[in-house]
Amino acid sequence: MKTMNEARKYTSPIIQEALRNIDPTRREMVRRRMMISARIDDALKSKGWTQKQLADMMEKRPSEVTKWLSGNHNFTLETIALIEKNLGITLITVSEEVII
Amino acid sequence: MKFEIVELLDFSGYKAGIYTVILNEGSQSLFDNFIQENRPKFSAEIDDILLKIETIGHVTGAREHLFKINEGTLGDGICALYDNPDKKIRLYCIRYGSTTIILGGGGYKDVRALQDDPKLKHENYLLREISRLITESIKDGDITWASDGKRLIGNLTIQDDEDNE
Repeated sequence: MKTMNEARKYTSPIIQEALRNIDPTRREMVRRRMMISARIDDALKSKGWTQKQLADMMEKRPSEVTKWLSGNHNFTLETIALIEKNLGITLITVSEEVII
Repeated sequence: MKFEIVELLDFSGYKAGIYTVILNEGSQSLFDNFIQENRPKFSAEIDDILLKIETIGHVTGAREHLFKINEGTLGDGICALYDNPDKKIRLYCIRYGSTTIILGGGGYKDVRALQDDPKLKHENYLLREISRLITESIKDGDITWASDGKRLIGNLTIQDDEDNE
Protein backbone atom coordinates (compact mmCIF):
# COMPACT_ATOMS: atom_id res chain seq x y z
CA MET A 1 0.00 0.00 0.00
CA LYS A 2 1.32 3.44 -0.95
CA THR A 3 2.07 6.00 1.75
CA MET A 4 -0.07 9.12 1.47
CA ASN A 5 1.74 11.79 3.45
CA GLU A 6 0.86 15.48 3.44
CA ALA A 7 3.46 17.88 2.09
CA ARG A 8 6.05 19.30 4.46
CA LYS A 9 4.92 22.75 5.65
CA TYR A 10 7.42 25.35 4.56
CA THR A 11 8.31 28.98 5.15
CA SER A 12 11.59 30.84 5.00
CA PRO A 13 13.26 34.03 6.22
CA ILE A 14 12.98 35.40 2.66
CA ILE A 15 9.20 34.96 2.55
CA GLN A 16 8.75 36.14 6.13
CA GLU A 17 10.73 39.32 5.54
CA ALA A 18 8.87 40.12 2.33
CA LEU A 19 5.47 39.67 4.01
CA ARG A 20 6.47 41.64 7.11
CA ASN A 21 7.26 44.72 5.04
CA ILE A 22 3.98 44.90 3.13
CA ASP A 23 1.83 47.96 3.81
CA PRO A 24 -1.51 46.85 5.38
CA THR A 25 -3.38 49.35 3.17
CA ARG A 26 -1.91 47.70 0.08
CA ARG A 27 -2.95 44.29 1.43
CA GLU A 28 -6.55 45.51 1.79
CA MET A 29 -6.51 47.10 -1.68
CA VAL A 30 -5.30 43.93 -3.43
CA ARG A 31 -7.77 41.83 -1.46
CA ARG A 32 -10.70 44.08 -2.40
CA ARG A 33 -9.91 44.31 -6.08
CA MET A 34 -9.55 40.52 -6.27
CA MET A 35 -12.85 40.06 -4.47
CA ILE A 36 -14.49 42.42 -6.96
CA SER A 37 -13.05 40.45 -9.88
CA ALA A 38 -14.24 37.17 -8.31
CA ARG A 39 -17.74 38.63 -7.87
CA ILE A 40 -17.85 39.72 -11.52
CA ASP A 41 -16.72 36.21 -12.52
CA ASP A 42 -19.44 34.64 -10.35
CA ALA A 43 -22.08 36.91 -11.90
CA LEU A 44 -20.96 36.04 -15.44
CA LYS A 45 -21.09 32.33 -14.62
CA SER A 46 -24.51 32.52 -13.01
CA LYS A 47 -25.89 34.32 -16.07
CA GLY A 48 -24.06 32.02 -18.50
CA TRP A 49 -22.41 35.02 -20.13
CA THR A 50 -18.94 35.14 -21.66
CA GLN A 51 -16.52 38.00 -21.03
CA LYS A 52 -17.05 39.02 -24.66
CA GLN A 53 -20.81 39.27 -24.19
CA LEU A 54 -20.31 41.62 -21.25
CA ALA A 55 -17.77 43.64 -23.25
CA ASP A 56 -20.20 43.95 -26.18
CA MET A 57 -23.05 44.96 -23.90
CA MET A 58 -20.92 47.65 -22.29
CA GLU A 59 -19.35 48.70 -25.61
CA LYS A 60 -15.89 47.89 -24.29
CA ARG A 61 -13.04 45.88 -25.78
CA PRO A 62 -12.85 42.26 -24.49
CA SER A 63 -9.33 43.05 -23.22
CA GLU A 64 -10.89 45.61 -20.88
CA VAL A 65 -13.06 42.93 -19.25
CA THR A 66 -10.02 40.62 -19.04
CA LYS A 67 -8.24 43.42 -17.17
CA TRP A 68 -11.17 43.80 -14.72
CA LEU A 69 -11.07 40.07 -14.03
CA SER A 70 -7.28 39.89 -13.60
CA GLY A 71 -7.48 40.99 -9.98
CA ASN A 72 -4.97 43.76 -10.74
CA HIS A 73 -7.35 46.48 -11.88
CA ASN A 74 -7.83 49.65 -9.90
CA PHE A 75 -11.55 50.27 -10.56
CA THR A 76 -13.04 53.74 -10.81
CA LEU A 77 -16.46 54.28 -9.27
CA GLU A 78 -17.80 54.94 -12.77
CA THR A 79 -16.66 51.52 -13.98
CA ILE A 80 -18.06 49.88 -10.84
CA ALA A 81 -21.44 51.56 -11.39
CA LEU A 82 -21.53 50.48 -15.06
CA ILE A 83 -20.65 46.87 -14.25
CA GLU A 84 -23.25 46.79 -11.46
CA LYS A 85 -25.90 48.11 -13.84
CA ASN A 86 -25.12 45.67 -16.64
CA LEU A 87 -24.76 42.60 -14.44
CA GLY A 88 -27.56 43.54 -12.05
CA ILE A 89 -25.36 43.04 -9.00
CA THR A 90 -23.90 45.13 -6.19
CA LEU A 91 -20.13 45.25 -6.00
CA ILE A 92 -19.67 47.90 -3.31
CA THR A 93 -22.08 48.93 -0.57
CA VAL A 94 -21.62 52.29 1.15
CA SER A 95 -23.42 53.00 4.39
CA GLU A 96 -25.86 55.90 4.18
CA GLU A 97 -25.33 56.61 7.84
CA VAL A 98 -23.92 60.12 8.35
CA ILE A 99 -20.73 60.29 10.39
CA ILE A 100 -20.83 63.27 12.76
CA MET B 1 16.44 15.86 -11.28
CA LYS B 2 15.09 15.33 -7.78
CA PHE B 3 12.63 17.68 -6.10
CA GLU B 4 10.30 17.98 -3.14
CA ILE B 5 6.88 19.63 -3.26
CA VAL B 6 6.38 21.69 -0.07
CA GLU B 7 3.28 23.52 1.14
CA LEU B 8 3.67 27.26 1.69
CA LEU B 9 2.50 27.86 5.24
CA ASP B 10 2.01 31.60 4.77
CA PHE B 11 -0.21 31.31 1.70
CA SER B 12 -2.12 28.02 1.74
CA GLY B 13 -5.63 28.46 3.02
CA TYR B 14 -9.25 27.40 3.04
CA LYS B 15 -9.71 28.18 -0.65
CA ALA B 16 -6.55 26.75 -2.22
CA GLY B 17 -3.44 24.75 -1.42
CA ILE B 18 -0.33 26.72 -2.35
CA TYR B 19 2.91 24.85 -2.95
CA THR B 20 6.40 25.36 -4.28
CA VAL B 21 9.34 23.11 -5.10
CA ILE B 22 12.77 22.56 -3.57
CA LEU B 23 15.27 21.15 -6.06
CA ASN B 24 17.91 18.56 -5.29
CA GLU B 25 17.61 18.76 -1.49
CA GLY B 26 18.62 22.44 -1.59
CA SER B 27 17.92 24.89 1.19
CA GLN B 28 15.75 27.34 -0.81
CA SER B 29 12.61 26.87 -2.86
CA LEU B 30 12.04 28.14 -6.40
CA PHE B 31 9.64 30.69 -4.92
CA ASP B 32 12.33 31.94 -2.48
CA ASN B 33 14.68 32.39 -5.41
CA PHE B 34 12.01 34.35 -7.29
CA ILE B 35 11.51 36.76 -4.38
CA GLN B 36 15.23 37.10 -3.74
CA GLU B 37 16.03 37.80 -7.39
CA ASN B 38 13.25 40.31 -8.06
CA ARG B 39 12.31 42.09 -4.83
CA PRO B 40 15.34 44.41 -4.67
CA LYS B 41 14.40 45.96 -8.02
CA PHE B 42 10.63 45.42 -8.18
CA SER B 43 9.52 45.71 -4.58
CA ALA B 44 5.97 47.00 -5.22
CA GLU B 45 5.34 44.45 -7.97
CA ILE B 46 6.53 41.56 -5.80
CA ASP B 47 4.37 42.81 -2.90
CA ASP B 48 1.33 42.73 -5.20
CA ILE B 49 2.10 39.19 -6.34
CA LEU B 50 2.60 38.00 -2.75
CA LEU B 51 -0.72 39.56 -1.74
CA LYS B 52 -2.41 38.04 -4.76
CA ILE B 53 -1.19 34.57 -3.76
CA GLU B 54 -2.29 35.17 -0.16
CA THR B 55 -5.78 36.16 -1.36
CA ILE B 56 -5.96 33.15 -3.70
CA GLY B 57 -5.19 30.84 -0.77
CA HIS B 58 -7.62 32.38 1.69
CA VAL B 59 -10.37 34.18 -0.24
CA THR B 60 -10.87 33.64 -3.96
CA GLY B 61 -9.20 30.32 -4.82
CA ALA B 62 -7.06 29.94 -7.94
CA ARG B 63 -9.70 31.11 -10.41
CA GLU B 64 -8.59 30.94 -14.02
CA HIS B 65 -9.19 34.63 -14.72
CA LEU B 66 -6.52 35.62 -12.18
CA PHE B 67 -3.78 33.96 -14.28
CA LYS B 68 -2.26 34.18 -17.71
CA ILE B 69 -3.06 30.68 -18.88
CA ASN B 70 -1.40 28.44 -21.49
CA GLU B 71 2.16 29.53 -20.76
CA GLY B 72 3.49 26.01 -21.27
CA THR B 73 2.65 23.12 -23.57
CA LEU B 74 -0.74 21.54 -24.09
CA GLY B 75 -2.28 20.26 -20.88
CA ASP B 76 0.68 20.88 -18.56
CA GLY B 77 -1.18 23.51 -16.52
CA ILE B 78 1.63 26.07 -16.73
CA CYS B 79 0.35 29.59 -16.27
CA ALA B 80 1.66 32.86 -14.91
CA LEU B 81 0.76 35.23 -12.14
CA TYR B 82 1.56 38.83 -12.93
CA ASP B 83 1.46 42.10 -11.07
CA ASN B 84 -0.23 44.25 -13.67
CA PRO B 85 -0.58 43.94 -17.45
CA ASP B 86 1.42 47.15 -17.89
CA LYS B 87 4.19 45.97 -15.64
CA LYS B 88 6.04 42.86 -16.55
CA ILE B 89 6.86 40.56 -13.66
CA ARG B 90 5.91 36.95 -14.33
CA LEU B 91 5.74 34.17 -11.75
CA TYR B 92 5.25 30.82 -13.46
CA CYS B 93 3.14 28.22 -11.72
CA ILE B 94 1.31 24.95 -12.30
CA ARG B 95 -2.42 25.32 -11.75
CA TYR B 96 -4.68 22.36 -10.94
CA GLY B 97 -8.19 23.76 -11.22
CA SER B 98 -9.07 26.47 -8.73
CA THR B 99 -7.87 24.53 -5.69
CA THR B 100 -4.15 23.88 -6.02
CA ILE B 101 -1.16 25.78 -7.41
CA ILE B 102 2.55 25.01 -7.41
CA LEU B 103 4.71 28.12 -7.64
CA GLY B 104 7.94 28.09 -9.61
CA GLY B 105 10.25 30.92 -10.61
CA GLY B 106 10.01 33.77 -13.06
CA GLY B 107 11.35 37.22 -13.71
CA TYR B 108 10.94 40.43 -15.67
CA LYS B 109 9.48 40.00 -19.15
CA ASP B 110 10.41 42.69 -21.66
CA VAL B 111 10.44 40.40 -24.70
CA ARG B 112 7.53 39.30 -26.87
CA ALA B 113 8.01 35.57 -26.39
CA LEU B 114 9.40 34.09 -23.18
CA GLN B 115 11.76 31.98 -25.32
CA ASP B 116 13.57 35.21 -26.24
CA ASP B 117 14.74 35.67 -22.65
CA PRO B 118 17.17 32.99 -21.37
CA LYS B 119 16.18 33.44 -17.72
CA LEU B 120 12.42 33.26 -18.35
CA LYS B 121 12.90 30.36 -20.72
CA HIS B 122 14.92 28.48 -18.10
CA GLU B 123 12.30 29.06 -15.36
CA ASN B 124 9.39 28.18 -17.64
CA TYR B 125 10.95 25.04 -19.10
CA LEU B 126 12.07 23.86 -15.66
CA LEU B 127 8.47 24.08 -14.49
CA ARG B 128 7.27 22.25 -17.60
CA GLU B 129 9.60 19.37 -16.69
CA ILE B 130 8.41 19.45 -13.08
CA SER B 131 4.81 19.40 -14.29
CA ARG B 132 5.54 16.41 -16.52
CA LEU B 133 7.03 14.45 -13.62
CA ILE B 134 4.15 15.36 -11.29
CA THR B 135 1.64 14.25 -13.93
CA GLU B 136 3.44 10.89 -14.14
CA SER B 137 3.26 10.55 -10.34
CA ILE B 138 -0.45 11.36 -10.40
CA LYS B 139 -1.05 8.78 -13.14
CA ASP B 140 0.93 6.17 -11.16
CA GLY B 141 -1.14 6.91 -8.06
CA ASP B 142 1.90 8.16 -6.13
CA ILE B 143 0.34 11.62 -5.70
CA THR B 144 -3.33 12.44 -5.25
CA TRP B 145 -5.56 14.96 -3.51
CA ALA B 146 -6.72 14.76 0.09
CA SER B 147 -10.47 14.56 0.71
CA ASP B 148 -10.74 18.38 0.85
CA GLY B 149 -9.73 18.47 -2.83
CA LYS B 150 -7.12 21.14 -2.13
CA ARG B 151 -4.16 19.46 -0.46
CA LEU B 152 -1.74 17.13 -2.24
CA ILE B 153 -0.86 13.87 -0.54
CA GLY B 154 1.45 10.98 -1.40
CA ASN B 155 5.11 10.69 -2.22
CA LEU B 156 5.90 14.35 -2.70
CA THR B 157 9.61 13.84 -3.28
CA ILE B 158 10.08 12.98 -6.92
CA GLN B 159 13.17 11.59 -8.60
CA ASP B 160 13.34 11.54 -12.39
CA ASP B 161 13.84 7.86 -13.31
CA GLU B 162 15.85 8.88 -16.37
CA ASP B 163 18.57 10.13 -13.98
CA ASN B 164 19.25 6.54 -12.98
CA GLU B 165 19.37 5.11 -16.49
